[in-house]
Amino acid sequence: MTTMNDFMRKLIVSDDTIAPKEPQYRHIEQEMIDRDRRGFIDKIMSGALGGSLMLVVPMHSELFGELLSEEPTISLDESKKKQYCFIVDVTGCIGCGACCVADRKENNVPEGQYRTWVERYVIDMLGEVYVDSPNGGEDGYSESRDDITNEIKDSYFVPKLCNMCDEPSCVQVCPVGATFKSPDGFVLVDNTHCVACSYCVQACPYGVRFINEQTKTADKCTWCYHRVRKGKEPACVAACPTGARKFGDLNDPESEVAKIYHSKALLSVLKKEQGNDPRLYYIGAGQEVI
Amino acid sequence: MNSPYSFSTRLFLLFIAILLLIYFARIFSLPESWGDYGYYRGDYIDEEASKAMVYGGNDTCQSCHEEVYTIKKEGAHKKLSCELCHGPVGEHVEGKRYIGELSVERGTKQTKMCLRCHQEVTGRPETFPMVDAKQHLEDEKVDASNACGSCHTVHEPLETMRYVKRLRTLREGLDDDDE
Amino acid sequence: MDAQVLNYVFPNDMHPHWTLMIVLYTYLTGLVEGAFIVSALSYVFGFKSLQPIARFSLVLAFSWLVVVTVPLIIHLGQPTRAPWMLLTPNYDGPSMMAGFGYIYLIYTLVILFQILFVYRYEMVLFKATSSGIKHHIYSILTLGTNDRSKEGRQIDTKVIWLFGALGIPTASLLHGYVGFIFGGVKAVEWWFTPLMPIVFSFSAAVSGIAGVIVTYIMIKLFTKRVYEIKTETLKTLIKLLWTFFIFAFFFEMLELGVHAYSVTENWHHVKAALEGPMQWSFWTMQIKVLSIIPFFILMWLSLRTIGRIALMFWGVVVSIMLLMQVFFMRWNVVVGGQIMGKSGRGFTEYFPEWFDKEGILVAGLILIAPIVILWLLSKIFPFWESTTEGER
Repeated sequence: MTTMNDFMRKLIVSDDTIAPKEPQYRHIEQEMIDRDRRGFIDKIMSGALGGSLMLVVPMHSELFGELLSEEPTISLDESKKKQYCFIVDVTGCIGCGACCVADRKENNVPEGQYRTWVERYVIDMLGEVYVDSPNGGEDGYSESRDDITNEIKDSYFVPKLCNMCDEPSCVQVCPVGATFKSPDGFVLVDNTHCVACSYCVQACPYGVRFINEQTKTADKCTWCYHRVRKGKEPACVAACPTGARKFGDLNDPESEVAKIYHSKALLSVLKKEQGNDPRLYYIGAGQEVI
Repeated sequence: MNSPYSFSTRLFLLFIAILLLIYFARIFSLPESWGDYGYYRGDYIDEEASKAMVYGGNDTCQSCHEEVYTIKKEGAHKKLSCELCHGPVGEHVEGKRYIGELSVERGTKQTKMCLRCHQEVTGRPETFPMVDAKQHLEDEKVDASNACGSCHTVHEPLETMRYVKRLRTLREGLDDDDE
Repeated sequence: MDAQVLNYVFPNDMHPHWTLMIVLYTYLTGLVEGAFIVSALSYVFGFKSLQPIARFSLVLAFSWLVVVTVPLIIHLGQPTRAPWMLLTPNYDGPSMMAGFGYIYLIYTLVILFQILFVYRYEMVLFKATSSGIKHHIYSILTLGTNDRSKEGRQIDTKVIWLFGALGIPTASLLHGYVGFIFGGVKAVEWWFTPLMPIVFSFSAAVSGIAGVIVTYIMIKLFTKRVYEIKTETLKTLIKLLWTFFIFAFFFEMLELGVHAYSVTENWHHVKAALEGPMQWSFWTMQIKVLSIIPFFILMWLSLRTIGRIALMFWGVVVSIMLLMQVFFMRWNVVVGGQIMGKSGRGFTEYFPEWFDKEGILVAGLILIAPIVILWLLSKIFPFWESTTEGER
């Protein structure tokens, strides 16, 4: 065994172990890339992609053009026929905060304000619940809860975002009709009409609203409505490395959310007693999640 | 002028005038699409829907970076969004021009990125592969200054490990021969 | 899982969204209602002893009413869009705040029109004797009329009665409405109670009556006309103050008591807040110092025969205490509800900045403004003369 370990060490560490500033195995990746590139060129040469060769370069720019195009691809009428649903699988969340980073960039949210955030729940053997969310979990959780003296029974992360209620209390209280539920079920804020009285911020049971420091109007998660209407999933869903955030159309039986929704999986909503009928569901969230 | 009712009448007319003022102010100022779908400005729905996207998704990246895409799609990181580490494609291009480099600096920055997910920390599901970075380097008997990328190829972190495993089996075979 | 306050609040709720300005807004509307009630008791219910200050309290109510919207507009993130409140009021929800815009407008008109009718005859007389700007102001305010007939004055009395009668429900509605703005927010357990409008209405009367007592005595003191203060008027005011205070305090304690007795999950959180960050402002100040003590002072002043000077002195002292009590009450409602947060697991802290846009300095200016406005109004609408002139 020792000989093997020695061999391994030699292999992995090589001679200049003291300060290997350059990655040791970069060449492997490079090799893989080269191999693939060769394959790509081979394919072109063999004619498999021949026809499209001339199109390769302009196609890229087309793609970016399309990406940055602002026209929604799904019309409101089409969108109305869908039944959008968001499911968060608490058991899959690893608290990396990638969703929060993506959300901030996608929606240009000012620092210190949160359209979405990730909470960490820790329950000790006595049933005591500890919750924290440093900077909304955006930097990723890197510290363990060493301050908890009792043995930990359970711990998990809970991503939070707009519950997109069927009975939104924020819409009810808005004095000027600036926030509303769209025909396709999204609660949005018309920031050209909002007076920023903060009444909706008070009325939201989930604390997802805030007054945007830059626009000086009410702001909140929209489930990336601008992406959904372009046929894309919300930025946080796309960013989630473990697929803990799921988004889709319940009317589409092939969608993941429909499969989960129609399965026996135990789905829960937050603050059910508020009667807001959220369309954001959780899998695996304990009773202590508020 | 001197009728006992003149003041009351004029005040009443003033009151009506105020109400009419509000009424006409409302009619003239009401946004065009107000009430199309409900008590709000209907046009806003499409205004919101027409906001530019910043994140493009892996398909977008694939169109130029086919090679890395191929490597990644087979490995343990196959589900990962490229933009998770590299940042949004919206910061990469503007119109049809490249405006920014999105490579992640190797070393500390890369390690930080890896540990966002893989650092062993309270709350993470136990089934998820995680390490205590310092401990891991000690366990593997490598220098503490090593970055994750020193051993793992980030786009397919287990590729190197498989390489090593292959060599290890080879070596074991040789060891057996020795005995 | 009881009363575990582990200091976690939602990241967006780290600071209150409704600040000192909203506290002021609720406070000022309350003052308006209270002062108006004093005048209405005279005009509508014929309280003879309140007649000497009927006009004064009406103008006083108006001078508070003018500034009510100031803190609101300062607080808005988009002050220039404030007219949307009236132009696109959300009756679909319906939004309580949108309703406030119209009720406030109607109430302003009711008070303004009532003042105009109260002073109409005198203004016609003043118009004839004055010149320059004053003459023009009176011309505008009398809407160019010059009627001095007895019949006209009879109409005035009837209309004043009508406006007073209209004003009472409007005043209650106005302030009850302010209460409902809070009482209708189910997301904040500390606010969510149907008693909120009632508590707000009664405490509004308390603050307004106390405000009338203080300003009445102070004005007389500074104009060296203390001899004009009628003991009877003062005594009535103090009895009124006591009555309304009993109701206000009773309903507030009832609310708290029901909340405490029901021992719901929410109560654990509210209780922890009342015993934690709100200990001083709620229990110590609002309840112990500024409610219990004034209650007994008022009881003594109302039930015993007190000398004139003592009545004035203690009347002012107890009124100032109750003015503070109501301010603390507003603070504890507005800020308290927000520092409790919605996570059910912790509290935030709030203390206003001194020189902020919504800070203490601005608040001070807003509170002083009505005094200046009152002084300006006194140039046009004399408060006291009619009492010496006898029956209007």
